[in-house]
Amino acid sequence: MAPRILRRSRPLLARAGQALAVAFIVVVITFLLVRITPGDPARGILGTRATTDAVAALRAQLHLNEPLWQQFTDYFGALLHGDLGNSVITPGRSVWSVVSSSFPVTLSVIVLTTAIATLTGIPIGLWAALSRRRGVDVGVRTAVSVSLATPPFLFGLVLVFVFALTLGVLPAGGWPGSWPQNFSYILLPSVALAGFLTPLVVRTVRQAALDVNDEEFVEAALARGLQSRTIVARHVLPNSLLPVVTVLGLNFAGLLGGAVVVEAVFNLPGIGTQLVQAVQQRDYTVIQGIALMTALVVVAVNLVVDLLYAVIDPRTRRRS
Amino acid sequence: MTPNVLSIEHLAVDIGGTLALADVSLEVPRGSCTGIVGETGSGKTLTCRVMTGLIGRIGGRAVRGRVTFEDADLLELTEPGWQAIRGREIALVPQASMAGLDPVMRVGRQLEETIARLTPGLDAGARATELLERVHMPRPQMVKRLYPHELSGGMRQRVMIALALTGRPRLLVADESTTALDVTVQRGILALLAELREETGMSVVLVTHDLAVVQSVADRVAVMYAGTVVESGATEQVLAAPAHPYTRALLAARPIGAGRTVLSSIPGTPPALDERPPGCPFQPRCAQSGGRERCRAEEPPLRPVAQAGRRSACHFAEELTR
Amino acid sequence: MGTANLEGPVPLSRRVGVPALRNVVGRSPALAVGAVLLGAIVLMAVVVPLLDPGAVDRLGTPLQAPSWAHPAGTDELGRDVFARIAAAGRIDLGIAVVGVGASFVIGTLLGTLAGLSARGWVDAIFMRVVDAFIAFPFTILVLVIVVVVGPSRTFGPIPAGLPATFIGLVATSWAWYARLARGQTLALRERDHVVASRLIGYSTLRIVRRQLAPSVVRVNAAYAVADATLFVIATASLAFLGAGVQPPTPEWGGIMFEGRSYLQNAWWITFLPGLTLALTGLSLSLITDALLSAKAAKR
Repeated sequence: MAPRILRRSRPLLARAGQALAVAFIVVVITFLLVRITPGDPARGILGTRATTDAVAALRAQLHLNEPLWQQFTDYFGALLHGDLGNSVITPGRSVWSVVSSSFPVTLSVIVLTTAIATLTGIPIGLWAALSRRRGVDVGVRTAVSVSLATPPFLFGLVLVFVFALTLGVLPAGGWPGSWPQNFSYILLPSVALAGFLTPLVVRTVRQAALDVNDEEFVEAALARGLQSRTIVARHVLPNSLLPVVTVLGLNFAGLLGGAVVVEAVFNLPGIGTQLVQAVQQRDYTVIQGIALMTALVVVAVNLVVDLLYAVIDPRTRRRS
Repeated sequence: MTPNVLSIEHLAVDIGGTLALADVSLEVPRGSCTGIVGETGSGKTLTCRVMTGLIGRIGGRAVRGRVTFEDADLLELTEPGWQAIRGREIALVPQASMAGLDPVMRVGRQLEETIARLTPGLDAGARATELLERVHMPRPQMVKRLYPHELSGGMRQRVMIALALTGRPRLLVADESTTALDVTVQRGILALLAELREETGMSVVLVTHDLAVVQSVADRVAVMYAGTVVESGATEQVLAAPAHPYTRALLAARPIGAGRTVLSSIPGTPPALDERPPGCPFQPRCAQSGGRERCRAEEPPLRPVAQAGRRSACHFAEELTR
Repeated sequence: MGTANLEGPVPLSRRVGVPALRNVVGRSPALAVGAVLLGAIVLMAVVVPLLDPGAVDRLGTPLQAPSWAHPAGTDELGRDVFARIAAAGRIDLGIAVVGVGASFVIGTLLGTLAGLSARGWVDAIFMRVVDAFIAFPFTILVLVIVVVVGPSRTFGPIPAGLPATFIGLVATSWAWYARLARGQTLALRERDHVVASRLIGYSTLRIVRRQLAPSVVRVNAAYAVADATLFVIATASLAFLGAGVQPPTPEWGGIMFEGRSYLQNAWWITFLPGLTLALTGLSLSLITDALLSAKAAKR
């Protein structure tokens, strides 16, 4: 019994192993990035006016005098304990608290965006692929092109202009901090971000549905006497959903990046705003921490998507 | 009751401006097994599509001729009319490549889906098992839970046949049912088809490119070339003494037995759909014709030749059957 | 005989796979529209600053609505927005071209090398590194690099923020080209004609040049055009966040950021550069789509 389970999950274990390797390399990259600053990071933080003593003190505090490999082992060791270090600018605050307090905001925007993108994108994609009416496909493809050309922050600004400033129905930015009031504050940002994701979903579903429609089994099903309606619902739709999972996974990183910009437009206290602030203040540890956490989340999400695919697509599950 | 369950008269089908079927005439006598033989591109699959009303999907429309099933004119049918025919009266057994079944749905569910649609009111699960047993599928309960890619080619073909039998059709159209299978499996499938014919009295149209298959199971045969039926008649008679140069060339091209003879093949290739020459379509490759004027100018009609019930589309058929 | 004449010479254009211009335009209006649009924007970016170089920084009456004198109005300091949009075009389009070019070269080269390498572990490690780079959300990684390089850093005549933006974008993009190139190389390596060449004894360099390069370059070039759109958008986003090209250098995102405070009364400062940005992106994606469907149809 046990060996059989092991044999079946071997490819999955391999993928998990790969993900771990990637995660490690992510840590290395993050570590190196901040330390290859031309010039002295401590001076960069304190500014040109700081005294030599202050700079020396900061260097000692940041362990910048140790050999590189030792700095890395310190860093990695702390990491394994969940310690991301403390903010350089406000030494009392741990990086972890910065990240953990702001991530939920970003996450709620991303979740809502994904929901909007799939709930609207899938029906539109199916419609474009299967409708017999002439203008539909061209119209949808044009809308997709236009959407993709519009960066989320531009779309966000337009939404602010229309809904917040002109019509006044939704807030232009900010964050009340509690549910359910929060919802109206993440609605526009999510729609703005969805402007980037929805066309990708539409395009994928449309292509998948077209491909499926051409497949022999659809024709065979028709020849058996099944109705088009049934075939679309029970056969075309499930087969078109698989690539959507892939495309959502592939674009998760892009979604996070887009969230950063959207937060700037709408003044949401998410990871993006924290990062921009840290960039302006040269708060190296915070910057490092945020970059690391986001990349690790992306690696985790990609792994989950891979595993999900194994569950959804029976072809990848077992080998006959 | 008409003697023929299906009859096609001078059918021509146009797809996107080109004539994919030029002149197809054949009859399927009740209870018989009629084979349709031809190379790839000769129009055999398209003819099957006509029998199930699926040419519209690929942009085809019939521009000439009649297709009569029992008393109904199939070309006049609208979609609701076809809903009553497909699966229930005429059933298609498509080629059992991997793509014939939905890859992400278990085989049993796909059977039950069709059963529920064509014979509502029956216990779908029990009927599915029954149908699988009918096609001699080993361990039907286990097979029902499998996915298409987990079945062997022969098993998949049996599932396709089971699916086609669901509605108890009067006419079974088997499109290249044995093509992707090896010889022993092939024999099993053909035996199954023969057995089902005997049990239910249904008529079978068997489309293939393999003359050996036709020889072993078909009572009658129609030979197709370039979208036209060029010869038809009782299988035994046609294969023993062909009345059309193409049929004769096909027979000659078979690698037969232990001889050390050089393999003969038919020089040239069939014409592309939009490049049919005037006159007889086979003329450019025809050894019998020798470039005669009549062959090049006048398209030969399918006419009675030799014994009763045989037809050939060759001006000089008599030279062959002399 | 009705079949095609297979013995005759095949015309050069069909051999190399370059469709005649007339055919391309006729068959794909999208491509024509995209090309014309892009051409117009490039023209504007190149020509307008030449006509009146001083207009970019010249102060005047602030917050004027679009008029004949100022087709895009004036911003909060009275500068002509149209002139700024045009000048910004040079920067945005310039970064796109140079940045994509650099990513393309670096990524394709490394990816091909990885694909060719005989040692599996080299390839495996390389791919994990590529995966790691791709895992960083674009914007975030660029921000980190911008901080590292220093957003106010200039490089000779190149304006502040541009070197940081450039390095950041290339550092995040090369990985995608590498992945594509490696995939292509791996697939082609096993093809019969490549194996045959190896057996005959052709040098690796020759095989790469004549058999692998055309395919790899073609696939990556198609991706490059799509990437250009991303580059333009990313440059603008970064400037919008204050981490990219610094004011007073005009940049579409930067202008939009400055205009944001005046959104309600002077919408033109934000939306007209935005429109230009969107149109640039649109023209690039039309061209990409047209190229992709041309390739697919040909196959």
